[in-house]
Amino acid sequence: MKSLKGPSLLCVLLCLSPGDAFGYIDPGGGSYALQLLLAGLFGALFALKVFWKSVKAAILGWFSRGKKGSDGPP
Amino acid sequence: MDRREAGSSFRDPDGLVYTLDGALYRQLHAAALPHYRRLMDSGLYAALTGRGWLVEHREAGPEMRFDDRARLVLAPRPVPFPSYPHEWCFHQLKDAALLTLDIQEEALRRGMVLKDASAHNVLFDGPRPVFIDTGSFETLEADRPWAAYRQFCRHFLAPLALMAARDVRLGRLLQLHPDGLPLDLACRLLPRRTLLRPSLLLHLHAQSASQRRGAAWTGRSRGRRMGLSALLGLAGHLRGAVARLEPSRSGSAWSGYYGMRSYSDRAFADKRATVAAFMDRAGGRTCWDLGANEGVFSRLAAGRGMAVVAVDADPVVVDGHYLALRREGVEGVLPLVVDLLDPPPAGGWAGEERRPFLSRGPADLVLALALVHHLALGGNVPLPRIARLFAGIGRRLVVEFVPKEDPQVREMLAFRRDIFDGYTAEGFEAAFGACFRIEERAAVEGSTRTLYRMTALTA
Repeated sequence: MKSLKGPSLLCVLLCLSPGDAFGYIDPGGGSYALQLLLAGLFGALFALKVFWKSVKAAILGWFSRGKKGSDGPP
Repeated sequence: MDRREAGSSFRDPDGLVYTLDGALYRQLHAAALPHYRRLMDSGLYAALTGRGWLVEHREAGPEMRFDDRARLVLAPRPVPFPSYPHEWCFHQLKDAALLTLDIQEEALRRGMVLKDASAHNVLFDGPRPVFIDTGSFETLEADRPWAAYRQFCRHFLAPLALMAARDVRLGRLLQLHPDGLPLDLACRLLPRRTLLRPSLLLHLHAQSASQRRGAAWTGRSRGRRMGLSALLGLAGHLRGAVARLEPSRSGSAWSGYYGMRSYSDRAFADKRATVAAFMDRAGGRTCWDLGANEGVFSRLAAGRGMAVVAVDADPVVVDGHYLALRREGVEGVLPLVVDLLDPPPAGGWAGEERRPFLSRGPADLVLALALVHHLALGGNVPLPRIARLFAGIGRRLVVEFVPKEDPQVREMLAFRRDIFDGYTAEGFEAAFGACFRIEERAAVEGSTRTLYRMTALTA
């Protein structure tokens, strides 16, 4: 069993390593995997950012409309 | 026609950078062509060059190709002076990192991605960072992680975190590690408190651990995908990590140097006026200000239309100079961290990927103000050697001699044996007279100092 551990690990690495990834630099197997593992987190962070921006824009728009309404000519 | 391949362009098989009779060209090979078309047709090129983020180019004729692999030849606008990340101060490296992320985000929004994120893809045009690698853009492939994530962290985040959390002098580690700091080394050097910062924990400490436990992590990531919003989220998270890094303001031996100078405001005003007059008579289009400190004299040269490279050995001082230039919108001055006692050497494969600092001249004008006594008395470099070095890097020279009677020199020699018998005005003129024609000299009013304007005998 022990003697199989090395070759089987190598097989897993060869199958899963990003050898066919775009680019000419080595992305690093661990770095590549880390991104995949955290993709959900990064996606959620981006969605939160977009949501927050739209809330901010809506609030600012509401206030500026209000301001326009009060300051503008009748 | 003189053809020369750039020493640093051989790693990417999709293109090549070279010069023909000194003019810069980039040829694109077949695999790069669809990506280039998308860069141009998607509006990404126009958006990036419009903001000054990417260097502009024009398409040149096929007769300008380097070899038969070329499918298209580009003539990029040359950036006046090549510099390398280990010569940048903290905020130059930080601005280069933020520029890379700005470009990555803009590229992602237009269906493209940076295939590499090397700090060597950025140069400084005066004090402004500009991305120079038009061949770095690729069409985004669905659900792929960012291939350049590790490279970005090694080239930017790790050295910036170390400089911020430990000491800005650690930027010089990039000279030893031109492909970026190994993450395990960075994590060993970082203080433990960086484990408490989520961005550094994730992108440095966890990523470093992922290199050691690659097999297990790779297994767990099987079947997962990384969509566009995740890529944008990653870029945004890295941006936050970089933006929050700031070094502690501990000062250095040279910060506030002008405030501590050993001569009066009147003497400084007189020195400034004399240097300006000498510059006007010396002329020239390029200037190296050696020991530039806060860059008072660099600005005098830039004000006369010269492209100035302002070097100083102290990274804190260079950082202050760079931030002031950015804040005040001064163009034409490039501050760099260079120690003349150990100037940046040639590096990379065959010693050809990075050019030694001293071979990137010669400058039309070299300024060496309040510098020679530091080299001669602080660095034990004999005056004839200093003169030979200056004559090798510049055609004309404005130099200041500070005699032993000067309070600052007296202080330098207060606790050491004076072994500098030849350090006199006569010795200085004899040493420099062997390499330069002394055009004029002027005493600095209210001090013991003398300014000289010289022309190299070989010029």
